[in-house]
Amino acid sequence: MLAYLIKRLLQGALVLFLVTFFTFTVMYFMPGDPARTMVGQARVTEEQLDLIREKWHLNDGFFERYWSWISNLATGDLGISIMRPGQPISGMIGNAAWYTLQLTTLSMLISLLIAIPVGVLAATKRNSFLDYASTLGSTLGVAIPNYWIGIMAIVFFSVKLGWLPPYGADSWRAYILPVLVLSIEEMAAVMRLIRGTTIEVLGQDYVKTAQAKGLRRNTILSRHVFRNAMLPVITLIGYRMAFILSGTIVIETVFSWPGLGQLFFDAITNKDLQVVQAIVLLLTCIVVLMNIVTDMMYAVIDPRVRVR
Amino acid sequence: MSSATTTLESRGKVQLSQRRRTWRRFARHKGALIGIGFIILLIVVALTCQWIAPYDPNKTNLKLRGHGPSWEHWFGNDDIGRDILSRIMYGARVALLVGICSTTIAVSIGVLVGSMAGYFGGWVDFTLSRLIDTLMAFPILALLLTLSAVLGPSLRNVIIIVGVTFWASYARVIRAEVLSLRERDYVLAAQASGASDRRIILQHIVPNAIGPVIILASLAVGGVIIFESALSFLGMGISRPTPSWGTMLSDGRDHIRNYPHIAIFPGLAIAFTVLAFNLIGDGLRDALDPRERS
Amino acid sequence: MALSSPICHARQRTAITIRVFPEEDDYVMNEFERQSELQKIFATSIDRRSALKAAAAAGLIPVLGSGMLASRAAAQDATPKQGGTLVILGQDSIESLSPEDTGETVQWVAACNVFEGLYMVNEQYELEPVLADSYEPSEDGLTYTFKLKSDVTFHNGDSFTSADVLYTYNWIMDEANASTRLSNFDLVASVEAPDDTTVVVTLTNADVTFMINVATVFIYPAAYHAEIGENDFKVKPVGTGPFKFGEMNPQQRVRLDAWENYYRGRANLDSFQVDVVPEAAGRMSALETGQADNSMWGLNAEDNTTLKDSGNFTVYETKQVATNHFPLNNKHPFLQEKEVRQALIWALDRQAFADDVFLGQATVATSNLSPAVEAFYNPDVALYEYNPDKAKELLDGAGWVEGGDGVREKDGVKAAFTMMVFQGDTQRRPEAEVAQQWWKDIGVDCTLQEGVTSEILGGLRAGEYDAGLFNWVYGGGSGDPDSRDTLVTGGANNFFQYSNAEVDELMLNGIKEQDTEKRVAMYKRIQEIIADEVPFVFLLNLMNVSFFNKRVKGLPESVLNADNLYPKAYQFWIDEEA
Repeated sequence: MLAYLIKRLLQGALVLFLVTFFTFTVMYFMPGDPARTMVGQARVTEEQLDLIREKWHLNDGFFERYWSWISNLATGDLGISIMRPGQPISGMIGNAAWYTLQLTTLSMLISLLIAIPVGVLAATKRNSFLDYASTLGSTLGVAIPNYWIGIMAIVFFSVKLGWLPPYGADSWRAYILPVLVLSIEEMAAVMRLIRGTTIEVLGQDYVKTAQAKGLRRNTILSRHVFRNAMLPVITLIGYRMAFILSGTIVIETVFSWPGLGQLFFDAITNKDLQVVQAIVLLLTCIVVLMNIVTDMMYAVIDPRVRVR
Repeated sequence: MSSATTTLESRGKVQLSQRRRTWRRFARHKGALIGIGFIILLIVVALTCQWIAPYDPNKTNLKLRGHGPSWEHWFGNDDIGRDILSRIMYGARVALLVGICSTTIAVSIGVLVGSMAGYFGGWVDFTLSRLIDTLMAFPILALLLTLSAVLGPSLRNVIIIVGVTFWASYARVIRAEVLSLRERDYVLAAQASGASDRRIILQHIVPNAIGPVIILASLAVGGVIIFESALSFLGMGISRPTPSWGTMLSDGRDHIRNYPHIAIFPGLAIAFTVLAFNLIGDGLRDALDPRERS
Repeated sequence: MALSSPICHARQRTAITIRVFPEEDDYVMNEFERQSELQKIFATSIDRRSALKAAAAAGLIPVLGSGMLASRAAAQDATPKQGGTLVILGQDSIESLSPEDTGETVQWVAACNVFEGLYMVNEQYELEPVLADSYEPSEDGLTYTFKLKSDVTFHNGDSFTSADVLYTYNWIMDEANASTRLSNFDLVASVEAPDDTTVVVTLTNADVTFMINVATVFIYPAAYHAEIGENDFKVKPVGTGPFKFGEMNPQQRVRLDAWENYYRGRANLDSFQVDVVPEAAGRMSALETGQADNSMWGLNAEDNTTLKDSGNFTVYETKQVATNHFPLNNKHPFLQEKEVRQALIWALDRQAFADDVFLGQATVATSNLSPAVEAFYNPDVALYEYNPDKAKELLDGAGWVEGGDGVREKDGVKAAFTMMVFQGDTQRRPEAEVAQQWWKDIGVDCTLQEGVTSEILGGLRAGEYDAGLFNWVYGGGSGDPDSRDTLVTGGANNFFQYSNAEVDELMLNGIKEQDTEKRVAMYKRIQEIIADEVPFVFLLNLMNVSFFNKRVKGLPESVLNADNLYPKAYQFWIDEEA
């Protein structure tokens, strides 16, 4: 187990390196002049721009810059942001990540809380109204772009009815719309999956055996079905973490949410290489760790899975 | 040699009758048929929109700013008076082009990389698997935005960018399939008969591993369309004035309060199209993979 | 972000005519009347000082008394109440509060409550003393002597002295710092501080715009700024203003808190807050529900109408001095010909834009100056009423003939160019999209591309881009028509690589000319030339419609520039019952 863990961590480190190297390469070749972005609307001469490029090592070669990024990282220094030179990158990202984390975990929780019981029930009561409704709901939930739902929700609940604030992250009321809108897609995906796997598990021999033994339905459900049906869901959750940012970039924009997605978008448009690198680094770390944790959980939940 | 050939022929027969059964299963799936119907309609519209669209999709008429649906303009007009129905029709071109072309690119790369990794194993597998891991670890929209910022927004770039970023999951599936296929009799037989790796991969492995990929791909077209619309919504997708549903949605968002129809119609267009592709995907899965049939 | 990170009118804070302070009885006079009266006086007087005298003779300029300013606004409403937070909506993230970065209005709105200059231009386009008590120009107009207030302290406890002014001015003039305000100081020869409360500024050339360009610059705390440096200062600002830094999350909000030791007395409000809401529907809904009190960013024309009709707001409608325009690169192979640029403007139905998109809240621009600058505005210039046939004729005449693909060409050069639009600038981008179609009709191919503001401005200055779309002030910030950094050959903000010897001469002599009648003639001539040569496609002069929730009290009856109300937030107060 330990050897496996070490192997996975080493692989993860390699992935981390590749991801950051790739991002760095792409950002390095991005057209446009960061020096000019830095001076904003200032009217500066070419010489002044050169001074800035000199100071920020923007004229250095590719490998020189990449090496300095890596060696700074080793000392825990993420560099200086071009768009907000006065703010430490770690603080900037920490702050934004906190808001995104709240948004994603809350929506993930809500979607699981609703999707799991509904999915299992739908599977046990096939062709019932609930089954059809949940199937329809999850099909639609995946198909409708969530940012569009977000916009419509703002118009309806904030503009027309005035019930909920259209923006902000201060009061609990401000969380309602973004969390719910973000959870729709998740909910649809999980519900679909749970229903499918539950049906599959219900058809397995050991469940039939248990039924033949006269075990109570709830016992079967909780002891056999639920446990086995959860496996793919755990994979899905782990996998979805990779999409954290993807899911929130647009939603954060729609709800003016001060999270990582908006920060990333700002950094990209401002060609802020250091901030983009730092965010990508953080997210890749999360994904790599989540993947490892998922595999570990697998082993715990399903004793049949033995790690190689 | 001859024994291998007969095996193949008999397999071919089995496949044929299997295909017929598959189609029957697919045809039983009403949703999938509706989906197919809708997509065919959409393709017809996309191909013929220069004749059937009621107006030039880029023709502006400021007098009609924000006018709602009417007899002359079924879906109304946008903030600079363009006919929304015509724009939706032309937008179908972009959606289908991106959805289908990008998915094709992604599947091709995925099949190639996945089968190579699975078939050769060893360091090839290790290298390609790390590449797959790397791509899977990337937040996809973030990657799309970064690449789009580097290459600049245009239809061609969007198709390429989406294509080259979406292949990782197909590669992973193919790799797993190939790993199991590699040990099958007919592959071993072909190897023994001295067939080249290229021939074995293309003739034996890929055709047998493609089923799950087709399912994944058909389900992915919808996802790709949503990603394209999100990219355009964020202003990093298709360049104006080419009508794209995502761009139209982003136009509508500023006027959502006064002229909600500007954003509603492209939103519905995206939803219906994605829904249709998903239904087809569901049908294909039921048909090709009886295990999961419900 | 913000996703939509448009900076809109890259603003230029130039303004003014005269140092004026109305006494309370004068205040009942219609502000518009008074202002135009003052402009007339200024426009016909020999110089600034005689203008002052003339205005004083006309009973327009009473002597300044301290405390008068505070009492003026407060007089209208009942007793001000303490407490509450004023919430302003911004459209773009607030990355910095440094005076260096106040070019973006959303950052200025917050920074102008933290920092102060020696003088300020107020909402009536008057020059108002802030950190200075008075100033005295020399007879030749080459030296200005400021008497500073002595009882002012910075938020960190340091006292404000002439050393801070000296430090600030020298810091800006040090080219190594690449200050955004450097060009304001291009005529400043030296700055001296004979004692703690006196500052003497010497110019190389008489400059009638000196008070507006230099004396309004925000002052740094010398010791603190030198110690932490400009980068850190952007997020840890310390000034002398009525509000001190509270919290800042660039994508979310900036909160400023009332400063107890403010020398004009603590602000009535507890906090001054700018919320970042890129979404237009979100801003509108926040205003309607009262979640926010004001939006510094303009709304849709339809929304303006809705809010006006609701009766829940104090509304200020003013003419903008900025021109909404497409700057063109006059060195571009296609755009370099005057006939081409004229054809481009003939092909645009600008009146339709003003009427149908802005619902009449805009007028068609005629040249570089806005009609808001009454005294200098020249309506008698070449006008370009929508006429696509005329446009085609001009292009034909200039030898641009249609190729196979519907795009004109000449000598292998295509009639094509790329227009840069600010990323997420949803308010103005439609103008480019419509223009694109109108130009297509005359055989001109225009490609639209989005980019970051600083990139676009920098690229246009350097001549790297073909065209752009934004608003800019080309003179007449509010009284003075000088615009030598934009229209003069090699000017720092010459976005068009434009060069015209006559304009150069008029502009450079314009700031020296003492006879105002002659001055007016000079600037009217400039407008004629610009209207004829079309270095940029002047589109519209927009109305600025600003709303304050009725619960905000302490607002003036009327204003000439609603943006300049923000530094007056310390006088505002909130009446929850209203």
